[in-house]
Amino acid sequence: MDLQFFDQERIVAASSTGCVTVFLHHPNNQTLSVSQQWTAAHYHTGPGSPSCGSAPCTGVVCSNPEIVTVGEDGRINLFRADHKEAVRTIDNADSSTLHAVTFLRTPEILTVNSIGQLKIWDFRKQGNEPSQILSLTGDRVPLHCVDRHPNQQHVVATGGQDGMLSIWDVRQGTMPVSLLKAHEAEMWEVHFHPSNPDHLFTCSEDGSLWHWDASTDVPEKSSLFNQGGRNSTFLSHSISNQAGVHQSLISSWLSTDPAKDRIEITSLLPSRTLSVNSLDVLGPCLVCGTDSEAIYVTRQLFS
Amino acid sequence: MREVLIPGVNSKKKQMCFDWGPGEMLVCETSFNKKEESETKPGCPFIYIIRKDIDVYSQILRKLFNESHGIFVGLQRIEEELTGKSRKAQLVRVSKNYRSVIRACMEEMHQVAIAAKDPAIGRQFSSQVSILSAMELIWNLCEILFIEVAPAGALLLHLLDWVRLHVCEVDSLLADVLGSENPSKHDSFWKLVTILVLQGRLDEARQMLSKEADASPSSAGMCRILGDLMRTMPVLSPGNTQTLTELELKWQHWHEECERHLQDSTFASSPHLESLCKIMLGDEAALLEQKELLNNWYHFLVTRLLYSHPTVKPIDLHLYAQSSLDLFLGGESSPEPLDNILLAAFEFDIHQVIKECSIALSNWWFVAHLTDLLDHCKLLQSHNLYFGSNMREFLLLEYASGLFAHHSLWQLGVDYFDYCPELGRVSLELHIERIPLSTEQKALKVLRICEQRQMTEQVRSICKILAMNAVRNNRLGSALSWSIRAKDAAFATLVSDRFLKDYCERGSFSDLDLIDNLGPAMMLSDRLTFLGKYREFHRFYGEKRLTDAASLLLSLMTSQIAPRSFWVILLIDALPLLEEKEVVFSAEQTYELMRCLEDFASRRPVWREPGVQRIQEDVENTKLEMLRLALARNLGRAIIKEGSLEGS
Repeated sequence: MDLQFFDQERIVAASSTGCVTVFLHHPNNQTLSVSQQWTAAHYHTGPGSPSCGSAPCTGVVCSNPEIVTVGEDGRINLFRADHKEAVRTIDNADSSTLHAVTFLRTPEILTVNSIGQLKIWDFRKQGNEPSQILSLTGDRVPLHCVDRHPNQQHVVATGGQDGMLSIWDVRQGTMPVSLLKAHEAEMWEVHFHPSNPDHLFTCSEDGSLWHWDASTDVPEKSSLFNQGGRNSTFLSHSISNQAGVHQSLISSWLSTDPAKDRIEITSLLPSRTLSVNSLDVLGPCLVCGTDSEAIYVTRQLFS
Repeated sequence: MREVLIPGVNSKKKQMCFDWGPGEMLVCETSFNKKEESETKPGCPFIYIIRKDIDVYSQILRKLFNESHGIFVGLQRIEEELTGKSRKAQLVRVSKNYRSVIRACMEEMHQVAIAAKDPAIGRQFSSQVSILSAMELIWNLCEILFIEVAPAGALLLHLLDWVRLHVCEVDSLLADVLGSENPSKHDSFWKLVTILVLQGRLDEARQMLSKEADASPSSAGMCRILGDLMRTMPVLSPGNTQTLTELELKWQHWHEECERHLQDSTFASSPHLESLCKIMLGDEAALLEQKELLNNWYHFLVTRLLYSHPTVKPIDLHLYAQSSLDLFLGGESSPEPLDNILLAAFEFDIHQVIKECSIALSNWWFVAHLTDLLDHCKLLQSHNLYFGSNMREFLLLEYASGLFAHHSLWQLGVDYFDYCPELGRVSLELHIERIPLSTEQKALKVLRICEQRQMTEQVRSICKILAMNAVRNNRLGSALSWSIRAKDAAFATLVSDRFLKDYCERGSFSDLDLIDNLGPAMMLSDRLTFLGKYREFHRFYGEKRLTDAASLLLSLMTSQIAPRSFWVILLIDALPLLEEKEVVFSAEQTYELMRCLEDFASRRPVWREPGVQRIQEDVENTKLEMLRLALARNLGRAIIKEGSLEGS
């Protein structure tokens, strides 16, 4: 259900059988072999669940040498490569399903769950309580994906079941900085571009993949991103006041000035498809996969 | 009728039982014996699932299903825009798209067949390739006859293309011969030239002949004459403005000239050249001599038409087709299913084509998509089948139902049901509830599909199943979020009762993160509201906001949303507040509390059995006594406080 590169050769895969596997890629003959596996990483232990009831592992995130996984059983596991058992397990971290996880700083992770909460966990602390909980006070919309800004460790983007994109500043309060109405159905993945963090990509059950460009450069740059899809400008709808923060450190995602705050949104897929389930982006390349068993690749994202 | 052997089951000794499912059949042995022997040997303990349609699980055919789904949906969507002249062109384009998908699949399967290490598997793939090839052949012919609706003249050109597309050895042979040092001395030289002539590729045949002329000067003269005949054969080229009658006339002249050359024995010294001339005259005997090169009767038909009736009209096709088939088979063998299908197509009997294809093929894919396309060409009369839907809809329903048997191709099936106006929605409602939901993500996709189509019943039932699973697995937060999605108040009540039960047993709340943050979802059910408010009461007490806590507690008791079983706990919770140094409850409030207490005490069930219940009753009675005492004391203090000057 989730995949991530661990290092140059190894890939970690999270499966719906509750098993977490590390695959080793052999470039000479283009094969994959299993390098390590934790088979019962996620499981149910309720009064009515069968004794070998496995739970799907919904999200995985790596930061060499650590691997953190979360699952439908509300459990968080911390693994280390080449260790047979989990280094740390937080049982019943959440009473609902944990959908995604990301690292904030190395000992801290952030998870999102299906009652619309972001929880920050610090592995240095003992105990099974999160160090912080953030959520929207309105409808408890489940959150499905999360990604942290590559350079600013306090800025996080989440996508929800109603297709809303929210930008959060975890240092400030418990409310999101901005809420942007995006897709018409569940947003499955959100990614900041690793080297151009002013660009954000989201994909959704409604079959679209959007490129959000918040770079506050000259306006004509926007035409370069028109790849045949819908092109609309959007004013971000801010909630909290950022007056206290030093202007020069402000990321374009957090700024609240409506006049400067124009985000270009472009749809990257040429026609409506079935749900786009997953995407990844690196440099000028973007890859995404859909429910019609097709994989789309573009190697000229910014051309 | 096909016999399938099921391993492990002994149908001779035991009776079998079976049950039909949507796309599968369950079979198992029963413990009844067929003969009256007292067998004590245990039978086969397994239940077998027999699937009719194995194509759905083929790795390569999956691409066919996925791609054709995209084409199908695209066709339904542009239906409204298809008008006038461009309509035919658009439909032909759609047909070509389908065919290119089939060819791509064929290519891939062919590669796999060649690369297969196990010869049995290789053979299996090869037979699949030939089935796909036959499908493409039939589709192509249907495209020419039914969609393109080529008129006389153009019809032959299309048919020629059709034949050339399906005989691919020619190109490799051509490359072979041309690549050799001395082409005209190659073993297969004359074979190649003959095939080229049979396929109407006269320019290339002429080139070959010129090589022969260069190589052997003795036959140069004859080659030149034959080459000239080839060059001057009148053909209808697209864009040519000559009418059919003009073409006929010119062709007659040319035919007579060829005849004359034959009569004059111009080519007598070279049997090869003479037979070529006879072929070009459309001589049936000469053509039949080339049976091996022709390979099948439809090639024979097209060649025959090319050289004897190039301006054949579509309605006359079937006569020539039937006779070609008879001549080619020559009574040695009987026609195969493919031959019958092609004949039916030549007779413009669409229903027969579809019927025969349905019988011959193992999967509904081909007939469903072809019928749908032909329906868009407005070629199918609304031929109602006895159970109410028409043929197109019936085939699409069958195909889509087959897709639902697969664990992930069911998403394609949804779109097919959408475009079946009569029974599509009902079928979808039935199928979608039965998809096994192994992960939440899959469940969310199913729910999204149901919500988009306003299938509220299905949404509710699926959410209930998921919520029940979550409760069983002790994931109360998930259970609550599912009942919120389905707006299922009854289930929310159930989940809240679980929480309250846990509290009663353990004395503390589990999953505080959920209860503390219920938000507006609290309003979904009374019990849930109670839970949220009760937790709020605890929070107030923890933060020492005692007056707020007190009024909240009172409102909880008086608003009747607390379940009866919880009243004791609420009353006991009032105790610490009553014992506080400061007076927390006002006189009014104390009177209310007393009323509630008496209300509760009077309605308590009386235990009749002695023993444990007696002890419990005693404990409760003690608590209630303490409460009464505390209430009385508080009342006193409250009255004093309110009565004195600073109090009011």
